[in-house]
Amino acid sequence: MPDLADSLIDQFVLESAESLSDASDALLELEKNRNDPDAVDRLFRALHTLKGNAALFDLQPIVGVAHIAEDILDTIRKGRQEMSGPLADVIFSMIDQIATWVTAIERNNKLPADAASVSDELQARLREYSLHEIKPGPSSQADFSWADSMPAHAWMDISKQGQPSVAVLYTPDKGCFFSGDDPLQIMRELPGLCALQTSFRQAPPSLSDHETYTCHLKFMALSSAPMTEVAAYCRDYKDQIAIRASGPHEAEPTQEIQDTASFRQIITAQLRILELPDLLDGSKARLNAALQNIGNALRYMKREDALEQFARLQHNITELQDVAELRRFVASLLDPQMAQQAAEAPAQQPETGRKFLQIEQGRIDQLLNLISEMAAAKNNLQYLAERAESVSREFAVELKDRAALVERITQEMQDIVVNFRMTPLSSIFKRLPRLVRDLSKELNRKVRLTIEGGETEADRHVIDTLSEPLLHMLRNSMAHGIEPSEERAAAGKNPTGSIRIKAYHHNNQLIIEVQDDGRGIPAQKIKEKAAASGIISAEEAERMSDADALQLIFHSGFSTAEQVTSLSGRGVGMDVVKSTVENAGGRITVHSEVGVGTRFTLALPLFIAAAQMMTVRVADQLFGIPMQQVQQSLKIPRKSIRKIKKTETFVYRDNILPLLRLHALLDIPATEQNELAVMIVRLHHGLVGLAVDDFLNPVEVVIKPLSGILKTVSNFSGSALLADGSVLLVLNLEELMRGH
Amino acid sequence: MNKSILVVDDSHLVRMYYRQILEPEGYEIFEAANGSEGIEKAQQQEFGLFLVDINMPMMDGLTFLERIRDISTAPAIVISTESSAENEQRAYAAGASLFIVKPVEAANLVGNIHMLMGA
Repeated sequence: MPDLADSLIDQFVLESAESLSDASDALLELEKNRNDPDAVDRLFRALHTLKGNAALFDLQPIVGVAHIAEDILDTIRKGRQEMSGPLADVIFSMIDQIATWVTAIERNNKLPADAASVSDELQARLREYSLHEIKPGPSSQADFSWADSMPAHAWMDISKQGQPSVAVLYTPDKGCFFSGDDPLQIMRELPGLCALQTSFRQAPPSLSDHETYTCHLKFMALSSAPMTEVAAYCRDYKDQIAIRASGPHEAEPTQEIQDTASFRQIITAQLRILELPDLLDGSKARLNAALQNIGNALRYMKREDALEQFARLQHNITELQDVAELRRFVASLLDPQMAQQAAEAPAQQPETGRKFLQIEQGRIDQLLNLISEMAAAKNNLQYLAERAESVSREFAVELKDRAALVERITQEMQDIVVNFRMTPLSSIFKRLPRLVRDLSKELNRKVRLTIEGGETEADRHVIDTLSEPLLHMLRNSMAHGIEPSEERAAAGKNPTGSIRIKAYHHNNQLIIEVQDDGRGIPAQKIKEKAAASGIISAEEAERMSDADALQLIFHSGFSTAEQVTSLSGRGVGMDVVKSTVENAGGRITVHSEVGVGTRFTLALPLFIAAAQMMTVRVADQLFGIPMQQVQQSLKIPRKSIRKIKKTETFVYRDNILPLLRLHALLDIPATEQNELAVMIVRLHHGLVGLAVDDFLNPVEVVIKPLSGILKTVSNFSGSALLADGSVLLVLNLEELMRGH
Repeated sequence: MNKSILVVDDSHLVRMYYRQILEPEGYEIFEAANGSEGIEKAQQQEFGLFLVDINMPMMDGLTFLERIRDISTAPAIVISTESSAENEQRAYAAGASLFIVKPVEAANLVGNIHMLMGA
């Protein structure tokens, strides 16, 4: 009996005496009237209260007998047997015996030494009347003498496990193997296991009598876990396992062990609650209570990492699959390895507010590709929802809801991943000072470079696109804009020239200005040069404004027509700069004032729209079809094609679709095949089948507007460079199929 | 934080025992001798936690739990003498937060209550 306040013992004695007297009265009543339900009930309740009180203080001898008596009375209460004289006798002896024990407790604060064996005898007598097969509990007198003298070889790594405080004796059922128990495993997983030993429960059977499938063993183990945790673990094998506080090592569990035990106990319970099949039915009080409990336990244990994750998961649980996800998370809290990692993590990284991860660019792009594919796949859902309208309105609405949800999630994912690729301009700006320094020496110019807005971010693709043009412009400014020091001094300028690079966001665009305080570009001379090179006519030159004239330096004919002079050099390579910027969807403009300086302004999109393209092959040429337009790709046998009027058709999902052949549309020689590769594409007026020679993998590309002669061909909306250097022409399907 | 605990148990001894363990920890203990008395008290006042027995006259613990979940999401610990997976399952289904089998170890009970109440 644990150390108890006197008032509790007094109360126990008082209540027990009351219960015993109630029980006696009821039993006397029953002897007179064997079927008096009221008396059975009173007797049952008196014994139940007695048992409950005794259990509170772990008075096993009392609990053991009261439990069996209660069980017998329950069967009488339910009319499955009747009270008999001999049974009443046994119950009377039990009441008397308990009264004796209670008196002993009142006097000595503990049960007499023989209580366990007396209880065992009484239990055996009572059990004769029990209809249930109440298995003999672990003997109250289980031999625990081994606990103090466990041989050293049975000890495991004690330094890790702490001091043993609980001894466990496990005598498996002989037929335990047939009920699926693995006694060794059960013992190995005992919480806080320090030592484990096994031996035969009796003398080992002779080999000839030995039955392989019978368990003759008993297991003895020591644990450092708190008694409650060990008891909870052994609960399912209660009839086979006896537990005792282990004498010499008995110690109060530390606060830490106690907390860990409580945490596991509570989390395990919440997991059971989350497994309830009807958790989301009716009121969500049980779910909400469990969520509160998990949150409180995590806060108590200061598991900040897990709390963050939990906060996300517990938000808006409406579906069983949300609960399943939550359950996986909660179960992971019980994984000791993860708990350990969580405990160790703060020690390694004391105060990092934000954590960064370096990820290879290719992986992010891969992810973005997948998201784009998902975006395309989601289109199928919407189509399906539209079709479902004809079957069931209700079903269609539900499908649409789901499709909208998938769409929203896809969009969010896309936004997040696109943001992954945002890179500050400083990644290319940092190369510039070195370039300026080297060029200053080479060209004998004194230049001070100022950079502003290095923290401005843009898509990695944009930045990559920008890198070369920027270097080129800087080189041009150094070579042709900034005058030699003497010339500057003579003009009354600071002998050291200045180049200022400034980046900022404006109207959702990335703006980069490159400004020098050099000699500027004389518009008149540009005009003359352009007219001389045949880029513009003399009349055009005459009418052209100075601002327009300056833009001529981006003309491809302008620089290539010139040998390098200080003036015409301004144009060298500027056509390339311009086309690079325009291909990235940007613009470049130039302002210049003679004697004051020149300013180039680049305006670029923050993101380069990288589009997901399905690639198809016709003859040897590859073509791209925007993924948003692709419904499905499939193979259809030639024989299932029907001609209606002049149009070839086929049946797709119960609809007759027109079949158009890409080679015919593009006027490319056809190759005959028995099976047609058909791309179901979605156009404004509906679905159309487009026969091609072959499908290839989808690719993500940056589409560039067409230039030169292709500009006039409306069959294509743009081109893209593939990884292998080949060019992909993007089909303008609406245009291509116009009139078909 | 609400540090009031309602003990619902037909045994005066058990209620007294919890009071002795929990009052020194700063909790305020209220008592009810059965489920219906417990519901009555819970309707008058908000509790931070419930300690509930299963087998009680008038209204048993399971019914109490089902009713209490209509008005409170506070943690409810069931403390029972009967340890069986079935009883435990029924308690959780009714709305229990934790199922503990007697004997109740004081340190463990206090630890569990601290944690459930997020103290």
